[in-house]
Amino acid sequence: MSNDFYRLSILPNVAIVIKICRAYTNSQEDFEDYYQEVCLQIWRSKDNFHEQCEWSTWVYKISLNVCLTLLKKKKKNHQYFASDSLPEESMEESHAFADKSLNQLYDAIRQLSEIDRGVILLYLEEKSYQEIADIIGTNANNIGVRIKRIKERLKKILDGKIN
Amino acid sequence: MEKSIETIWNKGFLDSDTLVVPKLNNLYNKKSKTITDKLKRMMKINIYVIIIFAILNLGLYAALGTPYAGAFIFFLLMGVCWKSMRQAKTMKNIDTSLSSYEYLKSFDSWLKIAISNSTKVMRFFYPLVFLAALMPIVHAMKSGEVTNAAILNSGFHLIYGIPTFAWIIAIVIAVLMFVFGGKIYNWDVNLVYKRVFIKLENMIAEMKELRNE
Repeated sequence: MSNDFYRLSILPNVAIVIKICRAYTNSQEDFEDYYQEVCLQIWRSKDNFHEQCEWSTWVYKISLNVCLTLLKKKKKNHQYFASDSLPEESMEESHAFADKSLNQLYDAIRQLSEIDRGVILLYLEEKSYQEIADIIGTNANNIGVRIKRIKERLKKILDGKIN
Repeated sequence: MEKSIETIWNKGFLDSDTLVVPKLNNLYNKKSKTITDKLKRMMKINIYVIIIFAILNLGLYAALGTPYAGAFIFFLLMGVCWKSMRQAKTMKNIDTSLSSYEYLKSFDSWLKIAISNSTKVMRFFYPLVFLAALMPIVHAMKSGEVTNAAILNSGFHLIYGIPTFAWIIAIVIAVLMFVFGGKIYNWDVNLVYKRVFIKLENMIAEMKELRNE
């Protein structure tokens, strides 16, 4: 990957990649692995981008796909099959960010199912329902209800933790 | 006052220092290790499978009344395992201090040499195993009264109680196995390792492209 590609195409959208990778990983080591794999995949797929959407949307799509694939592989390796919860080690509180509330929010997001994590991240990034549906590959009609349900779940998880 | 998740999110990411960008170095370190470890593991399993098969085969051939043929195949298989283990030891000569790209290239070269060496051995292995595998059939035909009488009354020229043309067919097949031994071995190897080989090739090609850009 050339420095130019990294500087011009990835770095302006690096926040997206970091935010998504953080939601799917539980350790700094995993986060760095996921981040590198996402960057590599963005570079690999650069020729498939034909301005059918914004570049940032493309980055979201790739980041989510890569994270979901890596998580699936990791689960397979650990022979862990429960879909909506995480292994005990991942329930430990993270300290990836300086802001304590943000860390707690991330811990809560990590307790959601893989797809719900993607949906809520996109919602928090102020993507429209249609954009979320396009990125996730689902119907826009269900997104609103889904977000409401996810927010309720997050509220329940975070209840009493955040002031 | 309780904060909404939107507020936590926006406030949390207000500070530009929140997002620390990881360095993109050693991009392929872990991947190289994963793929070479996988290949090493697969080779090890392959050797264990051959040993188990050789032992079971020994018992089977003894039960079929041809223990010598069973022992012959057993020693041939053990020879193959010994050769594989010796080759695996030479893997240690690959310099691990090299960059991921150089290491994978060296590993790939080692793999190609190992396959080429094995091909030479397997060209003899396949026909010999084939001939030994025929022994239980020969034994069964000779010990079966009906088949034995049919062969004896057939009027064919016989060698060791079996029609000469049957021996000739077997030898022709064995010779063909020797001639096409390399191809058979490649097919055999690809059956087990093809996916990993392709992955390794793609990884090297991609790393080369990354270096050139």
